Amino acid sequence: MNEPTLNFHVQTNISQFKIPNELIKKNFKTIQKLIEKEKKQLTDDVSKIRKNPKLSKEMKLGMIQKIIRNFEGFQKKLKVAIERDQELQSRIIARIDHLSLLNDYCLAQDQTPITKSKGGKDGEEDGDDEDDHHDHDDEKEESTAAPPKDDNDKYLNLRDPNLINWYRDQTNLLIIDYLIKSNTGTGENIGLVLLNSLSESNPKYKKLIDYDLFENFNKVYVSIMEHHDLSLIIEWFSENKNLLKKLNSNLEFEINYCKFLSLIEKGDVNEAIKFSNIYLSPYGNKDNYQQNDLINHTNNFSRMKQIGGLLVYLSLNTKNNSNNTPAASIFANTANRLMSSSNMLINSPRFHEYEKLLSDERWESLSKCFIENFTKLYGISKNYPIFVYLSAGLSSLKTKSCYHNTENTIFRNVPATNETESTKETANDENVYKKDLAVLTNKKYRGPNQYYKLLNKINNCPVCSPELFKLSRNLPYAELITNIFDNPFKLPNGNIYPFDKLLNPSEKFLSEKNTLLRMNKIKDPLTREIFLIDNCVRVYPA
Amino acid sequence: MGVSLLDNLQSDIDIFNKSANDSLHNLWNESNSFLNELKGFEQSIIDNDDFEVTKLEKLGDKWYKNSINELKLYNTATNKFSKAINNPKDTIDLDEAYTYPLNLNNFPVTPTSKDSTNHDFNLKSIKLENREELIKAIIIHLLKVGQCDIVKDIVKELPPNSKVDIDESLLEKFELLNKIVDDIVVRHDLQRVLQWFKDKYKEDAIPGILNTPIIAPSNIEFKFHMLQFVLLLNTTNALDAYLYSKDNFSKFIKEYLYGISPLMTLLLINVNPNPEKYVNDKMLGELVSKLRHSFNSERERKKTNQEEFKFVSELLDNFQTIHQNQAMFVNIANEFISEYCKDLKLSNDSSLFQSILAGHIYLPSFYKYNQIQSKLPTTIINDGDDKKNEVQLVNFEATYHFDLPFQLPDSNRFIFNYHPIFICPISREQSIPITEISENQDEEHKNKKKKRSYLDSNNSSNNSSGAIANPVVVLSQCQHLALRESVWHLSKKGTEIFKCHYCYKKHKFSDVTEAYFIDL
Repeated sequence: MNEPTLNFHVQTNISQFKIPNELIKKNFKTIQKLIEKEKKQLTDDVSKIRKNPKLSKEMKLGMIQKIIRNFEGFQKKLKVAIERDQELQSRIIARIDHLSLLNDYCLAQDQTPITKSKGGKDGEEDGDDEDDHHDHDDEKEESTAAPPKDDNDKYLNLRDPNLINWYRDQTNLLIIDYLIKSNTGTGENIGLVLLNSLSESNPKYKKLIDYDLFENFNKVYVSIMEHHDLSLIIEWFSENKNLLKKLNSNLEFEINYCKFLSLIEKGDVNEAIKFSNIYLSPYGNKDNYQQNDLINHTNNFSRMKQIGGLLVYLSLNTKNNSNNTPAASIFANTANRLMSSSNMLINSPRFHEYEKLLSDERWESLSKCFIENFTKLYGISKNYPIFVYLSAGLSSLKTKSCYHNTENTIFRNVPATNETESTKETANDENVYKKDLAVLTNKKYRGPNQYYKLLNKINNCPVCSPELFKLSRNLPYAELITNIFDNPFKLPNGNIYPFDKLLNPSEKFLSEKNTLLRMNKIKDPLTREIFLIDNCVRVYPA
Repeated sequence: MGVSLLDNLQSDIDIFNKSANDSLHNLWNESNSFLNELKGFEQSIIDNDDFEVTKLEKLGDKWYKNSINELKLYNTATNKFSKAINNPKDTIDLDEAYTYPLNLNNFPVTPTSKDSTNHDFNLKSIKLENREELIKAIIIHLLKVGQCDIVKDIVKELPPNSKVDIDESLLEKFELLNKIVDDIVVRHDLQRVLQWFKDKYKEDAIPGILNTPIIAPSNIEFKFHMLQFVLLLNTTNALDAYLYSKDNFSKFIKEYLYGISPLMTLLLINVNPNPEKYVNDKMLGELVSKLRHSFNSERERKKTNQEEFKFVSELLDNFQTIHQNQAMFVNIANEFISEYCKDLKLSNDSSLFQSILAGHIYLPSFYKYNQIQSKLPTTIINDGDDKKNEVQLVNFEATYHFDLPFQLPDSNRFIFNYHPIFICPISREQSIPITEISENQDEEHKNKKKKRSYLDSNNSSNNSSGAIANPVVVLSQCQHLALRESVWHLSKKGTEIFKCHYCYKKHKFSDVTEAYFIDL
């Protein structure tokens, strides 16, 4: 039941259709307005003609030509809107087509995913160690899932390379999504650059992600947080005013609140007071809120009271200053003055509250409100989707055998302080075999963090890769079942190897391994100790 | 059998899309015909000063009325579709499957210059650091999927004083990989990849001619040669293909003769260019399908090289339409990437991709767990969590006590077998291999534990030294395995004789020896 099914994928991906649909609705309104406007214009123009029945031919011609010109202008706009609709529709089509591919990657209806006790080599295993597998059998019953709860659901076939490639596309899309939305650079949005680059070989990418909307989402956010600029958010707000009202959005208050404090900050106290009379005071009135929106009233009201307090503090100083002194410096002055007059005041928690009002807090609050409104409006997740998948994936793969594998990366650390240490360390590793056996048999070389390197074996575990290892630091370890290679074979020194790989005669006839084998001996590839095979045993993990 | 979610969605979209096309098409036509009518008025004024204003009014009304009708139809369709995709029953909100949040910001944050002296474990700097790690993981991912050119742009996303550097020599190698993969996927051109294999042999062969191991040609190389053969048969002539096979197939004969022979048969079929193309194609199609049939029926009996022969079968399937089967080129390119990375001593796939793949596979469990949790009374969750977090996370890092509270389905685990995992049949705990790091951590944990011992007295009963590497031990009489801790407890701290959990053979604590799983 917890297997990845087709329905689950449809359910998690359905939000992809919401954005184009919302945009279609918006575009529809544009078309509607265009038509209404054109109709009104037409009626006006026609009634002008009607009112003057005795017009000359030239004038009539002029008027009808004006109507035609108008209408042609309307048609141009209509065409743009229709094309926009078609573009949005094509995104929906591309997405359903992409999602429908999954239908081909499912197990047949009567199949359920088979629990393999070990890799894919089950068929070759003999029956003789059946007794040693109770544990597996238990697990098997548990996880050889019953057919999906819903008759119409299907399991995905993870053995199908095309399905794996489908997930590769998903991964790239998740990365683009993340890069677009989290962009902070001032240049071109890096996510868009990647999208364009990937689209060269796979043009369908551009239909599968609402890059234009997300780019704007990012721009508005950055304009608030980085540039403390309200123009983009005001524009976005007025474009979506009606829809936001339905969501009980508090965005307008946040915008006005920011604007007011910015006026104060600039020293425009009079302007600020005027502004607040018109744009903020209505928020104090409970009647201006919807019944289910009273929490906003409470919060806004208390914030307005703080503003009032701020004004009082400021008024202590404005008389001594010209009108246009920035509030920050007023604040500093006030602080100085108060310092001398009354330490009580300056140290009062209130004073710091007011100081906070003029900090970056208001921008954070506005941008937070914007993200909430935006994600709610388009029905997308508040967390970047890549985080959701990454968190689940990393926790599922994180084992207690994972380690920080600095080998598996293209990044090299270049800190001045650690350099000597790390080079020393690598030198050590290379020399390890030149040292005596006592060192090699040291227990610490039996851990995966050592033996992969020593055996020249590549660790493919993603959680061990240095970047993701760090990302998964706070995640739990997966609960797993025993999963050991086939035929675990223990040497007298305690090292357990897969029997086949350890003993398979090498291709080369005269190899050391083959020579030893003929003498009924085996060499431990890690410690390089040589043992009689008779002293080695098969062990039974489960 | 009812209709699946996907089918429903598909038909909703079909209806919606048709309505959109119809309505907007009609809307456009309406406006076009009204414009023509307007022009008609213009003409008749020019021609004979004739102009009926009522007629114009009427036509204008008609245009408006019809347009609004089309809009109404479209509006109805839009609302219906909105309803269909906003049905909460058919929607899974990803936020509700985000059980274990990463320490990453959910909004853009400008990378500020990091204070390198600050080793505080504060969440804010961890989040910035993690963003850097994620960007690095993305860069490696992009290199491995062949998006080299963009890397220099993305590097700018790293904090300006970042202490990392990309290994330039590796970067060059990835540029070559990029070219090879583009050739395969975009141009279906295998020259470069085959050359790479050739160069690799040369490289491997040079140091110490005597001792050079004869590297067995890899199975992926076999696939490329077979594909190249089929491509040659398709694009040039049979002679080229024949010469190619002569030059290149010999080293595969021993192992893959069975797979090569049906492909060579294609050579015979295709030798005579038949003037009547249709007949030729049809005949060829029949022959290929017979060939494939007999090949496949025999293939099932073969034990070895299954995967390669499956590929041969696929080649036979698509022999005549090889260039249309893009998925085949993409798949083989991915296999090559993995071979190439192995050669660079890097893991065989993008770690980021592997993790996200696992995320897709296991997300249902996380979602379900969250659903169940959210239905529990909140007080219980809070109480439990507060105490647990104390032990589970130290400085925003998971301790070995922090396990997922649910088991993941096992059927797709075969994709992710990276480490040998041993779960103790007695304590159900996962083995913790000995590592220097874990030894150090042990010390740390032990110290912390002392300070906190009264706090987690509940927990310490089953984990008295759980943070310490808990290695596997072998029971000497029966060779069954367990974890050292469990056996220590079974033997009452080494004082009593205990029975093996499986076979009940009697052991003393001194009868068990430590063991270490080492995969080769």
